[in-house]
Amino acid sequence: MIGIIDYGMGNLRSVQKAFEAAGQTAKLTQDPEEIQSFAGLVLPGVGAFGKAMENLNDLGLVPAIQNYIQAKKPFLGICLGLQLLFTASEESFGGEAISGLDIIAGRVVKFPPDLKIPQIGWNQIIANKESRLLKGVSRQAYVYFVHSYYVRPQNPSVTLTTTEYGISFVSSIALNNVYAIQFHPEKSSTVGLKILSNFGAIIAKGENEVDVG
Amino acid sequence: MLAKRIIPCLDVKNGRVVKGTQFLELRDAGDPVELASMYDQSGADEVVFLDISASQEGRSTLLEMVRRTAEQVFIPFTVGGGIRTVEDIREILKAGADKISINTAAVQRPELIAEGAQSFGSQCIVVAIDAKRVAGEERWLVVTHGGSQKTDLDVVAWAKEVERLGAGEILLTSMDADGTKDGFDYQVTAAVAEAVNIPVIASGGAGKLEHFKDAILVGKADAVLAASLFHFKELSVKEVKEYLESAGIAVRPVITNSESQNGYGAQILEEVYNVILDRKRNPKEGSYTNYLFAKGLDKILKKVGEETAETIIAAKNSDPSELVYEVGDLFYHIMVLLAEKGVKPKDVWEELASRR
Repeated sequence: MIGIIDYGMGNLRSVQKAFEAAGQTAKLTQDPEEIQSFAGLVLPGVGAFGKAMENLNDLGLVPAIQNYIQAKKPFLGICLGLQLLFTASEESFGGEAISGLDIIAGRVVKFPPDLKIPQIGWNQIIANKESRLLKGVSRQAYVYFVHSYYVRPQNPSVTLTTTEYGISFVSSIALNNVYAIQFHPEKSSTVGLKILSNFGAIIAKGENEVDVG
Repeated sequence: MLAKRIIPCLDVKNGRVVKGTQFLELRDAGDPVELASMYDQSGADEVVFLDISASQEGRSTLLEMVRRTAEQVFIPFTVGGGIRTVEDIREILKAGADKISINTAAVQRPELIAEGAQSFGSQCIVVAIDAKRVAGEERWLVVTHGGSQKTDLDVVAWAKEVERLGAGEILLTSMDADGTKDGFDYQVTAAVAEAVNIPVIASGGAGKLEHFKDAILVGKADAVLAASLFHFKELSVKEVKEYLESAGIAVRPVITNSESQNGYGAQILEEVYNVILDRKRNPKEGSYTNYLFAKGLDKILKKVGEETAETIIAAKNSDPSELVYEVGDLFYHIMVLLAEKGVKPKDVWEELASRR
């Protein structure tokens, strides 16, 4: 069973239904204790970084997520759920940078102002390396993006894919049991469902993977 | 590169698609959810629903339809028609729509755009603008109420204003071109696209493949919307995309069911086999495949045995995804075995074919 963290940042029914369409079972949760019982955990979300951290803190979910990840269980961040894993975000209302979950070292920054912001639409993910999450996904597959900010990891080796939008930015990352993607798999048709089904396979298989390559 | 989008539009009344459609393969061609799902499968990048129900009853049916769509359709979708207040917007987004579209209500009370953008983000606020050309001039005025009422708002000035208020996209329909099938009004499209820095969706007038290309290249549109052309199968989304691609325009390619299912299985095995052969010829440090080749035939055979046993165990458990995973492992090790013994997968396909 997959747990989807529901912390008031957007409608998560379509994420849940997409997992179901991909052959998985998933449940919405905001209970810090229940979270630990799931075989895989998903942090989705759209909206403002600051508001999201505030909600996670209010619900007591910050240590729960950190503990879950430290226990080396499969974790998937989606869109804002990718950005929240980073040290800090530039996104704020004129004040200082806002601290994130600090699981991946790096910052969240805004697209340069000469681009159309937010980036809305289908763009390609260019794979930097092989990964169980993207197994069976073609090398320059199109997926659906909606975002104004992107992540800049300190250590480039966490990069799974990059995407071109005026600049080249990191569109997904992987670090041990932690996977995170900037795009919306629940809106990315066949390719998105394939990625969700791969995450299910990662959970089913545990750590003893067979990696082609 | 960000792809140009192709968007079918469905007119919905009391939860049913209004204009008849010609998709005989659908169980219920009037069901908007089934149609949207079919468009997802056939490569549409988004779907727009335009609700033309007038009654309160129609609205609640609409919300139910939005809920069902969000559960069954895995591409973004927009809902427009009859949205007057922030509360209307909230209801539709809460039901699962990705974006809402406002038209007449935005002209009557432009603050609605700002209120919606502040509450839910610009990315989900589409402003639809209906444009009518001033006869003999290169100037267009905004019309409302489905084109029945004139205003003295200049289309380009209004487009800039909706961007300033926080609109995330503009859905621009030429009321002169709409329904003619003679092509979009490329002039008004380009005038708006050049004036704003948010995506512009061109609508009204699509009749031929060339029209889509011109809307993008001449009209500088980021996306193109059409309705009856797709519903009556005069053109398919796939045909439009293939045409645009051949014209050098970036589009998301259509992955049809036949490609993803029939013949895809053997193709994937061939691809895996080719990667394995490449590893055999050009060893790569840290590669599991090379580890197997280095250990030799007995190790490979041991793994084939193990994976077979794991497949059996998985099949005894209830989770089908486990079985899929184990069979995947088994197929992979069998491909390594074939490569080790110098047997081609094609020989196996031919053997199987001969037994039919």
